[in-house]
Amino acid sequence: MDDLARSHFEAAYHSTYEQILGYAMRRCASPEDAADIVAETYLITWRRIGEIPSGDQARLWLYGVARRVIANHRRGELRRRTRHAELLAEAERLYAEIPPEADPAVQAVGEAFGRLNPDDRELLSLAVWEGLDPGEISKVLGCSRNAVRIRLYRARKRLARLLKETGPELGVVRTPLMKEEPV
Amino acid sequence: MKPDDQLIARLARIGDGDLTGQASGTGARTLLEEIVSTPAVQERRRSSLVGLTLRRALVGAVAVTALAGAFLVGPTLFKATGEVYAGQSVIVDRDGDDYLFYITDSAPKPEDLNKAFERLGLNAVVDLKPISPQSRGSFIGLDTEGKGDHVAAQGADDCQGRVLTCVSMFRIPMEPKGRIRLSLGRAAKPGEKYAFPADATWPGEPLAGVNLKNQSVTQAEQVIRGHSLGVAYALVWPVKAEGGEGHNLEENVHASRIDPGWRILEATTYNDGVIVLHVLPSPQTTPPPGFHNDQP
Repeated sequence: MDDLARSHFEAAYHSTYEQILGYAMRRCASPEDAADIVAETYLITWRRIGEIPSGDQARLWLYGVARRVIANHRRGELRRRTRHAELLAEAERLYAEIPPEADPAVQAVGEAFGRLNPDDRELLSLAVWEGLDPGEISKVLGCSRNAVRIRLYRARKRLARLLKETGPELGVVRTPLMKEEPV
Repeated sequence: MKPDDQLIARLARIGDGDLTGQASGTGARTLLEEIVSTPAVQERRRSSLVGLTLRRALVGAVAVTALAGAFLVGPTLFKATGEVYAGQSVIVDRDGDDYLFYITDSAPKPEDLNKAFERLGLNAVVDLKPISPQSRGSFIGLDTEGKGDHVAAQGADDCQGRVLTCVSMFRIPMEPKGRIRLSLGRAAKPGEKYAFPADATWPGEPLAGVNLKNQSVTQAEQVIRGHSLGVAYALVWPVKAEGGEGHNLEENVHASRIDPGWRILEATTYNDGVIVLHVLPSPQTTPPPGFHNDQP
């Protein structure tokens, strides 16, 4: 691999690592999954180095890769092509430090959020968790900005409708997009 | 941020701000070292987004193949994916006795695909046909002239795990018994008849924004005549087969066989001034021979 290409990859890696790790952790129930997603996302990126856009566009492009990695592999089916033991250890530590959510209002939203269809959840997650605007989301999802606006509007409406049906006594706090398989 | 968004934000297991410094940690550093120590075989050869300088740097590495427009490699070289061909708008994997074609360009050039067929020694041809400019993707048909040949087309969701920018994929046998015919669409010129029907209610189509679904035939006909368009009919006969439900479409049905009270499933157009109403007969209606429920 050309030095220039390698330095391009390393620059993209360093500038996006925390966001891609965050993206994976917010969607994966376990540190193992999150670590696998991060590792596979960057391995794919390395092998497609010629396609990485420059600047902040790289982050959006990598979100798209990570989204596909999550969508296309259930737990246990991910080709683990890197060892990433240290990354896993750090992810385990980060997961262990996450405090439980006790606010009933958040729990109610969590319940409604978990009942949304996965496309709506991902759309709202990109908007709220990753803080992307419709134009940026359109680049991640590969659709038009207008389509994102419409879909976001509908997703919010559906969430509001579900929230009306959800009582605070339902105690689901977080519904990851990638659930753990039953043992 | 909207009130609900504040609560959604609190559902996040962790924020990016909580991960500050992780990029310089041991986990990030060792993963980077591990990745860049692996062979940087590009999983795709098409580059459109990278900066010009980098592109130039990469061009040298693939100059020989770029001159040919595509390259053919032995399956053993790409054992993990079974990749046997990569061109400007298509990547081909071998999967058992089949080839999997991943189309990576929403408007692939027929010559690119013909070149792939030729290089793989396949008896296949590409047709280019006019379709609605609103149609998503340009892959519109896959047929075989060989009895027993199994061909299958799938959408982007089925193939983007392998090739991120895949827009559609299809599977054809490595040794087809007859000629394979692949139809690609191109945006029809104004007034040009479509080779493949489009939803008549799409933006840009004659009934843009009109909702005809579940309307009665009479109601739909009134709307269509209000737009000074002609009407044709197709009957949608439900079919229950092993593995699920589907339907058989009986086309070019005479108006005398249509009950005005039957409901509309959808309306299509070939851009020829006629709207084809896809009509659901009442459940008591007996299908004609060839469209019975037990005939998949």
